[in-house]
Amino acid sequence: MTGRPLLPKSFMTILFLISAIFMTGISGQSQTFNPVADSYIHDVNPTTNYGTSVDLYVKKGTASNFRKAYIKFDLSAAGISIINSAIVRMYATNSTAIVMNVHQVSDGWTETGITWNNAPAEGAIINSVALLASPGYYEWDITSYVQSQFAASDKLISLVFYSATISSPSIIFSSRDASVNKPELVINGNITAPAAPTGLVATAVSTSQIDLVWADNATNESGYKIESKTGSDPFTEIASIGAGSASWSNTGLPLNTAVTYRVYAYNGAGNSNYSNEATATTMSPGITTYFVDATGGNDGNSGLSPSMAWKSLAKVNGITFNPGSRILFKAGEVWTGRLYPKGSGLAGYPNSIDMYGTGTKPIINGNGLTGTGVVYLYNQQYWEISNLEITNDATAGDDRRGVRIEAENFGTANHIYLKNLAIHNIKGLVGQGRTEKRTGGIGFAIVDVSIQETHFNDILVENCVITSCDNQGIITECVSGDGFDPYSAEWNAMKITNGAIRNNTISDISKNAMIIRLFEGGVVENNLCYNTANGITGNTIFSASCSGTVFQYNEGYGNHSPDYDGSLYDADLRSPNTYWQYSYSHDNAHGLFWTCTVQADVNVVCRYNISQNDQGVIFCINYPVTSIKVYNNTVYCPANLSPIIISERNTGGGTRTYTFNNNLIYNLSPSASYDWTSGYNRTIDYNCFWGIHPSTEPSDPHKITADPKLAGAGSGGIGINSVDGYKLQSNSSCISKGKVISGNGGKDYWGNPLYNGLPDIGAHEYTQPPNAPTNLTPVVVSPGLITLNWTDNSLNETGFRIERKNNNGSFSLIGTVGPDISTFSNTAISLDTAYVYRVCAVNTAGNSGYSNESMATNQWTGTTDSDWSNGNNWAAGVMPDTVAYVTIAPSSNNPVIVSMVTLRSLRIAPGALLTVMIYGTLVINDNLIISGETDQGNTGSD
Amino acid sequence: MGKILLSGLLMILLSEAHCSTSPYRQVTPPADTSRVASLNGEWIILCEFMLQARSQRTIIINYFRNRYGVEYSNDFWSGKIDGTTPMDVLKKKVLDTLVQIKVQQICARNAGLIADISYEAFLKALETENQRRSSAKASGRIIYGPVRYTEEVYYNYLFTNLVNRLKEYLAGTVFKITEEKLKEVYDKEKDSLYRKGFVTIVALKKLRPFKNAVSDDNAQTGTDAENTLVFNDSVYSPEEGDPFRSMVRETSSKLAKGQSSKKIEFGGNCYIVTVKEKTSLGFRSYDQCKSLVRNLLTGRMYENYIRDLVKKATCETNMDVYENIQF
Repeated sequence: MTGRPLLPKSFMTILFLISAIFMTGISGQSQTFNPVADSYIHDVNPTTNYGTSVDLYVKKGTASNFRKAYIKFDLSAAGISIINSAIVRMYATNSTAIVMNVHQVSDGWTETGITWNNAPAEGAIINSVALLASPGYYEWDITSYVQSQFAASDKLISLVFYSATISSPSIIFSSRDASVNKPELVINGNITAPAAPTGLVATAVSTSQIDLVWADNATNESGYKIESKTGSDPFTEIASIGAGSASWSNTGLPLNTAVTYRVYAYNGAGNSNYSNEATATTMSPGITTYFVDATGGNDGNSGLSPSMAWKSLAKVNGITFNPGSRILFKAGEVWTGRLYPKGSGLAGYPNSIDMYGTGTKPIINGNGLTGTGVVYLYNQQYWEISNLEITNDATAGDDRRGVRIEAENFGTANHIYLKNLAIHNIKGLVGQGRTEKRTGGIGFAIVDVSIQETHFNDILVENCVITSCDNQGIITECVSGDGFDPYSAEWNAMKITNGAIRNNTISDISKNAMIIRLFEGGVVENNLCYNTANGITGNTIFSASCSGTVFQYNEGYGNHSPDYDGSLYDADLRSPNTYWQYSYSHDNAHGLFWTCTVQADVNVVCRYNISQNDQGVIFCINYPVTSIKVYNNTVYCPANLSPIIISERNTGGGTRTYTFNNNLIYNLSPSASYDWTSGYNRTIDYNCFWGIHPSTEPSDPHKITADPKLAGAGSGGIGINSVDGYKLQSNSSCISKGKVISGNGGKDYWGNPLYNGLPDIGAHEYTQPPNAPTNLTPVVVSPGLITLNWTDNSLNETGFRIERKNNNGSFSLIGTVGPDISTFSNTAISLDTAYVYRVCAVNTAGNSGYSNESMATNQWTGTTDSDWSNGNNWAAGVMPDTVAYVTIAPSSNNPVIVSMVTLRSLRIAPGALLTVMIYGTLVINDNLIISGETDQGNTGSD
Repeated sequence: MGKILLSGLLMILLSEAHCSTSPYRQVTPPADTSRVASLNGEWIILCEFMLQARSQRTIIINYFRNRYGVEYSNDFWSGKIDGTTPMDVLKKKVLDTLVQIKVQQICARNAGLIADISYEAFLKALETENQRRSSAKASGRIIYGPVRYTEEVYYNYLFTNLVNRLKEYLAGTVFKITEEKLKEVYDKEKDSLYRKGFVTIVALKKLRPFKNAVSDDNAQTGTDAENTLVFNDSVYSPEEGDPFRSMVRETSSKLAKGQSSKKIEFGGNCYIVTVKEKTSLGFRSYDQCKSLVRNLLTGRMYENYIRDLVKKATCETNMDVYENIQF
């Protein structure tokens, strides 16, 4: 049959959908269900579970040996509203002629957990059936019981099969785990479509997630289906979820996107009507600033301006912040409690906490808070926290932390920056255990990775001041265990990448200023650490389970460790390829570098450091290790101390290989010593031992014992600029006497490039200042440009400094250029200002002398004609005035003066000609240099 | 006829006004130099006083919160509590601190270790140092610590170093520390400070989960068999030792022979540590401890020396300023 439909096709589709939605029900339909759980229990083995058995044993013994079968059906997804009949069918593979009862029982048991000891007791008998001594299905009518269960909205049907008659052998039914003849519950009932959900609400909770909630009005739904659309697109199904649900989260959405939702329930009789539609828009990042004022704020305010500031931490902690949010605490105010804002930022839109107003940093006072950080983040990322004062004091130590950042089974937590924080008086626990080492100033902790790898990436602690803390300054860790070799599977699952700890000041710490664990790469630099290990032994900075991390430009003094440890640095267990360099250790209980290694540790490098007045073991080599390299360090031991300059501390198995080269030991102490232990594979060569030579001083095939001629040994004060006394002088015995070390980092303690000829010994690579440049010539080449050229006479400069003054002013720096460059363009000039220039070469040893001082001159170009007064004929674009320095260069139009001209200085270049007509006058107040010609024109009268 | 008139050597030129025009130059507001008190004739000025007040204010806030239940508010500092105000308590505490500091500074100046101990000189040094650091940072040179010191940080940095130098100076001059004195201190203190440690035998009981009809894995009573662990302090233990052993060792170090710990939790399990044996390893030798002994003695003598100076010091308060100090 052909013909045109009466309705458009699209309309017909709509009608079909409507008919599907409005299916009203099916009467008298039979459905067969298999159990969702079954097992039997046995009193002889009261703790044994038989949930996976293919047989269900039932037996009544005499005094013991009882067995009962438990079985459970789930009718919740069937959509049945009225039960007409319910028959349970059990297939007996082994049967005898006894009466078998089926009992009621509660649903409080599980297939894999039920045992004789914990099984719920059976209730009243529902029905009884006389079994025969032959296998086959037997049926029990349990209609009334199932109906009563439905009336109570309980659609889980649990039954127990048990015989009141002593039987032997057991009756054996097939269980749901059998391949055939499984238990069955046959239901004849009326099925109606479920009631529609109502009250659908969609709420955006982040840039990528919208949460849905609705009222679950159905009692017979098999589940819910959720549809969504964006814009004018049609709805599509995005999720199907179980019966009884009333909420769902839509994740992975694009930011700033409006999504509309609707929900319906379904069962075997059809679908409900749709719920109402609800729309929400995922959050979009943007800078929203919130203000918090402890004394002038109110939590009922909007928080969006200082005058409408919030008041409490509770308010801030209750909000999930949109990416790009700024939360500003008022300067000078005090809050007591924990600061734990929720939400995360995004790349390019970090959330931030900072201060507003003027005055002291806002204080977050934990006031004894334990077990967490005063400032705390959990499974969050892209946060920057700055300019807070954080304290957590108490009379007795406990598990207290200043800032605690945690991630647990999270994936990668990116970009956590802590800057300019003042953290003090964190009353933690003093001790060596992990609990104690978790307390203190700042902690980054991966809590657990058993479900998902978890990492921190791009973490920064910068310009923070951490003082008076027990037990630690800064730590990183994995709470569930982090003692893993770098690049093992366990370590890879928890490593920390792109970590930077820099420019912090850490003082008055009971144990370590820093414990750096799990870093892959990363840098710890420019930190100042003093008065550490005040309460217990400890090195000031140590690493563990790190690889490739660089520790440099740190100053550490005043480590007070009462026994072992007590150095500025410790490369502790599993720290291969770590670099400890360019640092200044002084006045510590022990020394510069302590190692505590495992056999696999390789390429642990200590180089170009300075140790002054350290009191104990300066270099400690401990435990098996594949390779430690100690080179080009300078050590100063004053007369009144008794250091052990090298200590091979530990005995035992494994190989212990280390090298000690190019080090300068400046020893004035008669009681200094070396502590050697058998079993160490040491290579000590090319070192300088100056001063007093203890009997234990090592042999060294290329030992230098002549005066190293340090510029001022022992004169170090505080700060890197105080240790120039450890530079070599030109007559030092250590110049060019060292061993070439490959991969040496390329520079010495002061940044001088390596090597200047052969290697020197100690932390300084002697370098002479460069030669001075000559022939400086500045030329005005255009109205806004003076070009300088000079002769480069040096081979070791790192650059040039260009200085300028205005006639009788003083010179100031106007620019620098790199090495081997001999020209500079000065564009910041004023017309008719007479500039004087000079140049010097520089390198890390100092500056050269200056070049000649030279004045920039306005130069004759003769571009247009020979008229002196025409600015177009001058490089500067204007005619020179009375203070100008002038050069007459050769040109096709030689200048002619026909009026009164006054100059500061005049130079007539070779090949150039200046004509002063008879009625013209030229006055030169300073210098006249004539390399070309002058002509006094005679076309006018005198 | 044209004329070329040469007037000879340089003549005075009009000079440009010479000034620093950098828009980035940080201007430090002038310090409040009001005189709060004098210590042996050395002035303590207001900004110096406030530096310490800022450092110690949280101690006072906590004290009044915990002792009197007073929450921080706008009028916290001036509120009368128990006959005093938080500000009065703070000022007293700050003044005590500054007396200690000034006495040491005066002593260091007398020793020639520092030329000018005035706070104005400190502020000048701070500005110079910050300029040096900014310049170093800009040109890629090395600095330790923050790019820009705050008053608090630089003050503490300088002062702790000054104290270290003063201790060394006094040890070599006034204290006259001799070998005999050092040995005397060693003998007196070796029992408490210079032991080699102990060999400790520890019984470790792991508490097993309680089992009954209702499974509750969190309930833990009863014990499994004991494990025995031995800790020998003569064998160096790394900083980053096994966390479990470190925990047991830390616990046992605080127990005497025969004592047991409370229930301690580790890795989701609970344990009890009992010290079965604790055998002393004797003492570290005098030579091994000489530096530590010297530090100890120097520190004690320094404390006594400064305490005496503080007792003898004369502190006069300028009440006009002192009474009006507030945040």
